[in-house]
Amino acid sequence: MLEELEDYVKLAVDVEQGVAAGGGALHADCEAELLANGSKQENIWGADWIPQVREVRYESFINIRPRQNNPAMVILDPALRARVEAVVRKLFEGV
Amino acid sequence: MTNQVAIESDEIQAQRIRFMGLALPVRLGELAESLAFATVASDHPKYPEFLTRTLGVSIRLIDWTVAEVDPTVQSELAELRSHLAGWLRDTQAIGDDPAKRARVVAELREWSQKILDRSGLANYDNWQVEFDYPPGIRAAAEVFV
Repeated sequence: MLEELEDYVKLAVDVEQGVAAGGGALHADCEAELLANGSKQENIWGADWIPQVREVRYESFINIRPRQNNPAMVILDPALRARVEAVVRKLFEGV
Repeated sequence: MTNQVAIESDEIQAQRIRFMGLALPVRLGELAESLAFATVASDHPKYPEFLTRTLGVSIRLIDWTVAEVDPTVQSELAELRSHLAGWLRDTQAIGDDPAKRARVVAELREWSQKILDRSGLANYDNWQVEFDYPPGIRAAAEVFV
């Protein structure tokens, strides 16, 4: 519900396909968009992009996945965070 | 004569309608998420402005939720709202004092976890309960149950 912050984008990222959906009012809206486009739910993770500090954040309650060893809002696995970050930076920074 | 009635902008109204359509646990989850997000302000170049906006969002989410939770959670939300309003009045002073900034971040983190606990979303057992999730969340429940 923070989409009013124009310097902040809510995202859902498919780490397998390397795609993301953004701009929804909720991370769940972005997630639903990816699901509708054929992404598998277990590959989708919630994140935020904050352009002014060029920072990726990894905290959303859609990330609570007990069966994927992620019982918290934040993505706990550093390797998974790196995969999310790579997708986001490629899309927003073109790197 | 100045109109003293607070008018809700179209954008805020759309947010409220979207938010009020969510199940209560999901609303509390959104609140927990917004509190965690407010900690971003600590490192943001436009600190007071960013903190003001993020705290404002959390306060609105509380206002849109508080009437429907049980009395215990209601008291906690009232206490949280009081903290947020205090920080909102004091954003410049908080921004100027690294120790205050750190304390606010720590308290936002604590409150975020507490509200997430109250939502039940972090409790694996509750993933077998049929919440009225948004589409994506509902799909998550189907995968993980």
